[in-house]
Amino acid sequence: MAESSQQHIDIHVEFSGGAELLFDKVKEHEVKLSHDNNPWTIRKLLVWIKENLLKERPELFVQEDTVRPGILILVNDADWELVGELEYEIQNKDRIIFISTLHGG
Amino acid sequence: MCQITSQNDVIPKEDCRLSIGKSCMKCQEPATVVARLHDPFCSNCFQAYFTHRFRATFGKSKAVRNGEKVLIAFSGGHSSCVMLHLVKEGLAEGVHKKLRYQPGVIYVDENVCLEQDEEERNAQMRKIETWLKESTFPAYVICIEEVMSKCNPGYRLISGDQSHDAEDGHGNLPTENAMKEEFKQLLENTSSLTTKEDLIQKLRLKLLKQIAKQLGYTKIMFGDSGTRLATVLLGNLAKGHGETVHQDMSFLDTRGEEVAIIRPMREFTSKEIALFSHQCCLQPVFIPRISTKASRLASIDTLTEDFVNGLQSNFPATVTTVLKTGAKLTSDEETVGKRHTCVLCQSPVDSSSSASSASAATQYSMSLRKSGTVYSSSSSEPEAACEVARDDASCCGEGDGSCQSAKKNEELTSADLSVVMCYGCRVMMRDVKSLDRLPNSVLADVQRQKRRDEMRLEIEDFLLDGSEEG
Ligand SMILES: [Zn+2]
Ligand SMILES: [Zn+2]
Repeated sequence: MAESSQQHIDIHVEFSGGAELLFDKVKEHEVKLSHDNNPWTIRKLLVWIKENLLKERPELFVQEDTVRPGILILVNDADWELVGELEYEIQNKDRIIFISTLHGG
Repeated sequence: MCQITSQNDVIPKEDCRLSIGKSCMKCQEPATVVARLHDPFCSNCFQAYFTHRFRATFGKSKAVRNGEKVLIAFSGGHSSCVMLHLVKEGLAEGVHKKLRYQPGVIYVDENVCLEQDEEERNAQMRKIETWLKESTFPAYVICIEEVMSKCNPGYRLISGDQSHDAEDGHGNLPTENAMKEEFKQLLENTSSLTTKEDLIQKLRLKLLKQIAKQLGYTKIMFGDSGTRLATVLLGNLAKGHGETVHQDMSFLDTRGEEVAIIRPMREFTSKEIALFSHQCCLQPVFIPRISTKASRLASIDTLTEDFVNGLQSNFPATVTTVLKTGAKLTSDEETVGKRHTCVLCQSPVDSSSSASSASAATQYSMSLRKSGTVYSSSSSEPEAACEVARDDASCCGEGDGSCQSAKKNEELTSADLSVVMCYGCRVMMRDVKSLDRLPNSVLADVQRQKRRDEMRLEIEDFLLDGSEEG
């Protein structure tokens, strides 16, 4: 991506299907990611979420370096499988949605 | 004959880099969904495929007759919402002739199993009721604790047909709280999360069948996804319910005499359902369960779910393979004519157990433990005896055991259970401390079957039928 003059990128992150319970029941989050030289990938975002947004039981959201199987990720309403999964480079104004399809949420 | 591992079953997921920027397999628009194994679809084609497949399951199976009353079990989750949405759409369009049945919707309120904030719960119920009202079908809400009811379970009519209103047992009478307490006690006396989950699920099903019958519905439609059914199937194998896995996951489940079950969502994975729900902006209602936020290792169910989802994320044919394999696991019991059915789950009871079967082994070890703490009903004898006296006095006197007021008139023993419960449910009962806390309807069934057997034994010598089973 071209060098951006911004100091950060703004994205919208959303949790649903019961995943929000791990985030103090807050579904929608406006997130500012400070811009450094390395691009923000989903992989990097997951670490950031774990450290900054997640309120409890991290093992119910992330496993190893990826999201817990059964939690679906959509990037701008598209299946993350179509954009490169963990390696997808997050763009300014992206909407990233996590939907739990697990029975207990 | 059954070659289970066809080549499709073990395909690993495609390298995700290959999927980047794929276009729809139908129309070449940019894809938004990867469904089935690796098929990219745009949103329009995905929705068309999904809807078509849903309707086709009804057409193919011919399980629902024209004009039949079908009760939709609605839980608020993605799958329920999608199912209700598709049923409504199908009937409104009138496109599909096979879908001309009369639906009703029911929500089972399981709040009694949880410690929930009042405000949160009210917000949930408002959303659920909005869904029920907007369905335009007759809609009901029933509390899970109504399964403890001594008479017909009470329910709340949200919209539609008023004619059954009179049957609404007890409205807001104090009995409601008593049942809540009884149900809570039953759960508190159940030791493992696995059994708690199972017990709730079995009683929920029992209650739904009861209310469906009461309201004149002949089928209940459940929204279990393929992913969910694969989980349940593997879990049931682990829990000793292996004999009925075939029925547990089939499209049409005819266990139980009056009310059958259909599962149209079994064609889809939970991922496909969530994507469809998201694309149609369906706004499902999240209701916590007893296993919510529990560790992945908390129960057989959470563990199996984790296992299935983990496999599915690397091998997208996992769910279909498990279900295909499960469909081949039929048992002889189903083909044998009528025999005892389990008082809890209506599966056939394996009474012909050979000495070496798991069922016989369990019974043996139970009889060894009988004097121990497993069946604590014997430890509270004075109290129990007292209750017998009271209950006998209030019995209506119908000798066949149909009298519902005669609760706890005889102690339940493990030997009794072996005749009236299937193996899996008996295994479950090992975690339930006091069997007397089971719902009246279950206990009444136990007594009824017991008495029938005794009567049969008494008159056996006079029967002309020579088929003595020794
Ligand atoms: Zn298309
Ligand atoms: Zn059973």
